[in-house]
Amino acid sequence: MVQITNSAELRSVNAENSTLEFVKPSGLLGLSFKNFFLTILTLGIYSFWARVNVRRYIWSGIHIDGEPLQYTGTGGELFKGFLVVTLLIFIPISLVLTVVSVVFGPASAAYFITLAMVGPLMLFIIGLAIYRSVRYRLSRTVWRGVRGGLSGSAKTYAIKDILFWLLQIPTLGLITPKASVSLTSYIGNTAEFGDQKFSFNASSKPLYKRFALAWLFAIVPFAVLYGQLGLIAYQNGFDEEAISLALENDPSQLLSVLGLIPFAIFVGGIFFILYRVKLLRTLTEGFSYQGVTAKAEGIKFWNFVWLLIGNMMIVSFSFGILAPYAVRRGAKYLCRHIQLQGKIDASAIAQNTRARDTSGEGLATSFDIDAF
Amino acid sequence: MLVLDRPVQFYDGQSATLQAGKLSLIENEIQLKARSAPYQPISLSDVKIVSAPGAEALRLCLRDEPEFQILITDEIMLSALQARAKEIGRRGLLSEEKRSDLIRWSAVFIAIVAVGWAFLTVLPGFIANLIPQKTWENLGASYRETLFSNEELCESNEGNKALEAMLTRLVPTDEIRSQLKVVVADTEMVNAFALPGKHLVILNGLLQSSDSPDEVAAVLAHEIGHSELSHTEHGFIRSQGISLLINIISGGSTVGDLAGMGVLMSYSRSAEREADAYSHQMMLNANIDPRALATFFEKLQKKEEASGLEWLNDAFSYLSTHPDLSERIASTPEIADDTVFTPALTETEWQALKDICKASGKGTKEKRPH
Repeated sequence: MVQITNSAELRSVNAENSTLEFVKPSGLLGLSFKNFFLTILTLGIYSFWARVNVRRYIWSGIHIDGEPLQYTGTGGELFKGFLVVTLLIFIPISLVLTVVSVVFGPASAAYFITLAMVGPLMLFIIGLAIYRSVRYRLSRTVWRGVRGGLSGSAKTYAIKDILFWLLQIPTLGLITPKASVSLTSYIGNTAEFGDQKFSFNASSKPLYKRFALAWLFAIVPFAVLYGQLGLIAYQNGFDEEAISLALENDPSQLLSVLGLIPFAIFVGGIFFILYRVKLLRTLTEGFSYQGVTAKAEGIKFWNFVWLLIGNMMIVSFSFGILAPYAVRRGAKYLCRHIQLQGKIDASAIAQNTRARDTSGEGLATSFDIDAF
Repeated sequence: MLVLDRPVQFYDGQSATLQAGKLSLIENEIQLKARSAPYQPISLSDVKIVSAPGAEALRLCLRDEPEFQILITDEIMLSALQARAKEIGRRGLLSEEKRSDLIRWSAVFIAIVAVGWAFLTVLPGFIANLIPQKTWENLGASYRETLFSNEELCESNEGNKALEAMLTRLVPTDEIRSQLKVVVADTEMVNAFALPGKHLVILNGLLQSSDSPDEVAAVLAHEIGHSELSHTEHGFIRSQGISLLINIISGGSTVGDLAGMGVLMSYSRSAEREADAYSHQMMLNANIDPRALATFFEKLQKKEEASGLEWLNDAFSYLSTHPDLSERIASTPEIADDTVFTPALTETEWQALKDICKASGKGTKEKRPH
């Protein structure tokens, strides 16, 4: 367990730019199997500790200027967060729904009104959870003895998140790129490492060409399909019997449209991946810290697709046991394709004071929603 | 064990500047010396390793302050620490996380599972009794409305009279009978079921596939058994509890849609045995042949053995909610050969009940052309 090497040689450090690299730590196979079997043996309770094991491993592989990150969160903290959220949020909501459905009936107006209120509440909670999980993870990320933090308010983020969700309807989803950039901007402009702030500046405009193409291929076939159905309905005087008879007699008028859908999904899917690549690049390049920015031109369609396909194969062929390898591939991919521009001045960084008072306790710091 | 003043580097948790210092190991404590500040001795059980396996330097941090890190590359100090770690044993020393954490949370988890178990076994009966009968009736009514619209319920003068006659035979006590709300719904499915609040539904498919009124009476008596023994209410609470648990485990994103289904599916085997016994007793009291229940089951079983889509249809109706047919057929009471029973209905009444859906202008549903 205590494996020690003694080579004190320093990694060659580029004098002009800070370096970001992934140095593979050993022991991932053992970690994967240990996580898998202990999670099964403990009926899932170990999954919180398993997640921490993976994070600890991944963080320790990421080196900035030759110094590794450390993940200092614990499984107990994650599990506590899970329990708190379950007891304070999910059980009360489920109980209210159950009581309303018992007292007023599952088909009653009261039940539907309650459901309609729970929806936005859940969106709000998801918004809170995203911001808090970033805050928690930053406060548990240490580099050179200094941790990160977030100075903003989770409520502000959650309200922004809800507003963008509401805008999805009138904009038919076209708000998505704007929402991604704007929400990341709030995180980026409130993020801190040590006593210094990150800033984030990016525009969603360059994303729209790719997103619009993906969007068109998703929308047009269905628009044509419904248009065709509408036309047939109109020709048959909106009579249900006549419409179904007409479709039975000549199914080709719909099949020709239906046949286009798989093609449209394929092409639309490619444009969507192209959009995701551009989004990842834009978001990455939007961050700056001490004037140091990131270049992510290496993130390209083919290597991104290969990352996705490879990870899917690893996870599915190993029945999830080797999922940590997929996480490691993701971390390696980012470290390889992101170049830092400018030099981080570690001597100017002092400890972050914000995160200390919220460390390790309750909902605020422990609400953690992602897989790893 | 004594190793004095070996050169190390450290982060003091206040800044990102790497500082030089000297580290001593004295018994179970390490002592850091640096020009910048004096440090207290630290017990080895208060530190843990944060470096990756195979990293260039062994990196120790304080358990309470993971940003305070000591980087050790000095071979003498490294081997001394390793020896000390072996001597004391791995537990509590240099380990990644305190084992007691996992044990404590496991205990919490087991407690939660225990509460969940109580929720499913002991509590349903207790909670069901707390809910007033009127609430159960409303709930049952709204479930029935969800399952069958009023248009799907069959009514006819003669048919209703026949149904009332059968009920009167089975439940002679007016007070008990008046609480039962029995309807016939126009569905091909061969089934009958009880809903909370003593609502009973007979499906037309059951009437059509029964060869005698006794078979219908036997199944009806079985469902009355579920109703009178509060199986439906207990099952409802249990299914609500299950959907609550599913919500919690799945993260609460979906609301218990399965609950409604659960009302119909959640009888346990022992509940079924009780309802069977109830049916047999009720039939004997009414002087109707109790073997009709078994006759009906046998017919279902034959259907089950027959191949084709019919089987699939049946599997989703009676059989799926009432498992283990052979065992239940065997539990039929012994009847002396010379026992004389009176049929549950007269021939005219039986015909009226069978035609109750036809008479109300519904009959067997026409399939929609595709």
